[in-house]
Amino acid sequence: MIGFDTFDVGRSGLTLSKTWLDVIANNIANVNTVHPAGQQPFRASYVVAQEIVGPGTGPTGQGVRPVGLVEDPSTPAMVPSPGNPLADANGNVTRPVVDLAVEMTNMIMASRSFEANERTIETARDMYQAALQIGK
Amino acid sequence: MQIPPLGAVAPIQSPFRPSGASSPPGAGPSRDSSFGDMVTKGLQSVSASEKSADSMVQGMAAGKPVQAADVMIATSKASLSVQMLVAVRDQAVGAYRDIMNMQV
Repeated sequence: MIGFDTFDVGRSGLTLSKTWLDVIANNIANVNTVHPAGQQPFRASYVVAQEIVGPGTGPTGQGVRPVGLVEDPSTPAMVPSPGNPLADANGNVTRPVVDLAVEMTNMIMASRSFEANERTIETARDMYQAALQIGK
Repeated sequence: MQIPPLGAVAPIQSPFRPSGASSPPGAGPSRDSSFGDMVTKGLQSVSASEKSADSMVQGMAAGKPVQAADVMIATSKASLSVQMLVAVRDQAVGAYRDIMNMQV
């Protein structure tokens, strides 16, 4: 019999996609956040996803969950910005470690991931309704 | 949130099993669960999912950080549970009518 397991698995995927988008939004919002030279820059974060393993894990699994964030370890760019109140004695500031192109492509993936998980829930609902039609 | 599906439909099959057929113990529904028990269990399950959906809708209206998708999933579960209950009821009433309209 078709239960509601797919709903919960799909919901975990939706939650992950939403978390992913939250992190991307934060990265994009900080795309111009400069720091004084020598200080730690803003670094883009990426969501680490992991499958849910629990005592009730059946053969089909229970979904996915975000387990944490990792930061981009790349070296920040030092750019001259004379007149910037945050600039050091040489007129340099530290640019954030965010690649806008990467964030935009990640945003497309997060959006499509949300849609795909939504579709699994929709399909499960359609199957349940089809099952209710048996014998009518 | 774990909402058990309306698994209570299985017991309706047990009265129609041949009396000689022995089912393995522990496997399958218990034979002495009546149709009334089944409907009560189904109603309780539907009521639980309705309450769960209701509290999520209230939480969202109150501005709590409830995700829209979660609310829609909970309401979908409740709606499907009700549809399942109505379908079972229709089948049961239909069977009753078939018997009552039988020519003797």
